Amino acid sequence: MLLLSRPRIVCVHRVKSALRNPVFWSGIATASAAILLVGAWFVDLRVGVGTSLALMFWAIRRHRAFGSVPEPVGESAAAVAGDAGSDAPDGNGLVPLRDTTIESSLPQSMLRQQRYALLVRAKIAETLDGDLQTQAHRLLWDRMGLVPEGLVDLGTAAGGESSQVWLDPVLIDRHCVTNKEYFEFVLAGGYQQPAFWDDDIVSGLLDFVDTTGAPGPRFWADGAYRPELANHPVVGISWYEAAAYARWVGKRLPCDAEWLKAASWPIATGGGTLAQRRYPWGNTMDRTRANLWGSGPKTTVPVGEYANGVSVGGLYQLVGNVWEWAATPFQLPRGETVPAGAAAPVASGEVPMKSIRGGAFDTYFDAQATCQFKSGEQVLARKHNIGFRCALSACDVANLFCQSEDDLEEAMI
Amino acid sequence: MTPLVTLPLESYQLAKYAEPLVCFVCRFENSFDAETCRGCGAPTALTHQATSPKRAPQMIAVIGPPGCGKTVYLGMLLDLLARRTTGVRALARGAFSVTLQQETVEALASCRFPERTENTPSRWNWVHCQVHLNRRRCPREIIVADPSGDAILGHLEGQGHHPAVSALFARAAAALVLVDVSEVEAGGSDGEYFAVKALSSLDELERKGRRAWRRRPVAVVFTKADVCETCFDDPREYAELHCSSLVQFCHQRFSKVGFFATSVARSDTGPLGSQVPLRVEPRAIVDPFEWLIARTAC
Repeated sequence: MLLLSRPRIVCVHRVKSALRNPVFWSGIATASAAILLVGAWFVDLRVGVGTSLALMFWAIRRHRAFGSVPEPVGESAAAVAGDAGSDAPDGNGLVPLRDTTIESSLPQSMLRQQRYALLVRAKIAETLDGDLQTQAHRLLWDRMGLVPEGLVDLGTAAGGESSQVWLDPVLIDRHCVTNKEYFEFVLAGGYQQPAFWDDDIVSGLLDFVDTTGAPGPRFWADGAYRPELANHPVVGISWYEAAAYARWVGKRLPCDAEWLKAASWPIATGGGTLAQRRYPWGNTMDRTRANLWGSGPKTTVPVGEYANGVSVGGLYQLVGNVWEWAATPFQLPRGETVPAGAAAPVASGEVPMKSIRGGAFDTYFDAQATCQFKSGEQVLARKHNIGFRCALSACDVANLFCQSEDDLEEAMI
Repeated sequence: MTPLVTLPLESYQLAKYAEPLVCFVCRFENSFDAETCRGCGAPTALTHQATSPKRAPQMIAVIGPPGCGKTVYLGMLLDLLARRTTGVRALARGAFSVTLQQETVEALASCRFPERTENTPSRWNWVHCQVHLNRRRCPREIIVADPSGDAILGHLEGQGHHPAVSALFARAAAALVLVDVSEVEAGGSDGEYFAVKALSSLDELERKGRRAWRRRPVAVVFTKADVCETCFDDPREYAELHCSSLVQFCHQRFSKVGFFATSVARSDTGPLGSQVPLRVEPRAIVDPFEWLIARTAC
């Protein structure tokens, strides 16, 4: 069954994406016009010839307008929605297509794609009706946990002093991004849209392919994940791919301090000291609460498992299952000091490193699966045990605390 | 003035001094209370330990150039085998056998690699363990020797005859030959040549008879394979692509050859040039050992 279902899913997605692709329809129109033209030539119907030619020119214009790169659904729809108010010609001198069906379903499709973070931003939220706003906020509180403002201790600095930093409130995903969620990004043509990617990696996008050469995470095939791994965290993605997905859904990667605060949940105990947890559930290792070496199946598990290991803020699997990319550059561990005058530490081959947090299913030592422990990985590495979750600054959300009290209480729980 | 002390004459104590202690590694006869063998320099504690069980232990040699990860691999292997509850398991015999495991684990847990093995046989890592297999009733006594890479290199280069290395090569029932993948990926071939030299040296030792080296199992282990994911997919194919001369040599001279890929820790080069383990993620560590044990005659 599994062997049959995988190609079927790939096939269905390909058909769907083809049907949504304007290039495909313009090709159909061109072919129809050509058939009509040939028919009219034999029958000598001037009306038929005229219709065929008009149809063919329209198809050619449409094809030129969209180019050879498939247009992602969300982005084309967004462009349509944005230009729908004015029929002014665009840069190519073409009048944008007005598709009322797509226009009306755009926010719904964005909600389906887990891009609710874009809909709760102030400028966009004020254009939505109340029902959509409620839906977006419900999704926001359902999928993200609030980490309140406050101090967090990043650990002992080189001088022996603890380094405490103040953080503004931030929302962090309750689960790591799953294969299913990441698939929406791939399906929407995320790998073909330079706008979502850092400028310095655009030329390297062609290298981010799966086992069959299609754009996508490293361990996928034919641009799709294995169906049984739908709810597993997506792995085999570089830091750039994680950052691009986060940008696509209107979020960002959390920095080290935010991740640490979400996991260790510091409490000010007076005298300038902070009580921080060693693990999200407490200060003692309990291997039944996390997917680590010796406690799990030695591979990834669905993101909703290990519910007894959630953090105070309700975030799942902050420790175990997969390492999580953070936005912070990685500094080498203590003991390896940088010589005076040397540049910031970078990995061999001059590839910079980013911080990764939380340990994975194959993390061997308890000491390397704590909230405080951090490791690093090269930004281009696409490892089997590194995934990510996204963050969103609370200040970017319109009316964050003005929803119904029930929602707020639910989120805090 | 020394006081006179009257002690009873215990004949059995004299007897044990009269009987020489034959070194388990090189067969040199030492006095009973010697700390290291005068022939090869191996610790006599190993011999004391090896003579206690009913069945004589078998030796497995871990061979590789300096810095290829012999000590880290062996230390992690022992820790993994000691924690196991099913499959092949191992119990250390003697305090000196636990030291390697302890030092390696402590170092890796604090994000550093253990110190380099010193070029003195008494300071090499010798591990005597009792290996339990599910299918077998009686456990196997195995001694794993982790000699210094410099000592093996010196022996192979002919800079000086190293009695401990030559005795180890002759006595070992199987060999783990380690090749550093990070060096292979960087375009280097020193690791491959080192492996070919070591295997050639083994092959020359004993070419005929039941104990000929061509009949003994040899596991070629690619260490630090986390730098190349394809190495894990098919180590033999990786070897054929990147170390073709080693593969050819193995096929022609040895009948039991296996290729494996392992990785203990994700490491990186620090600003001072030293390797820093960023996190410990053991992969396929036990596989070569299991393969060897299954093919080593009792």
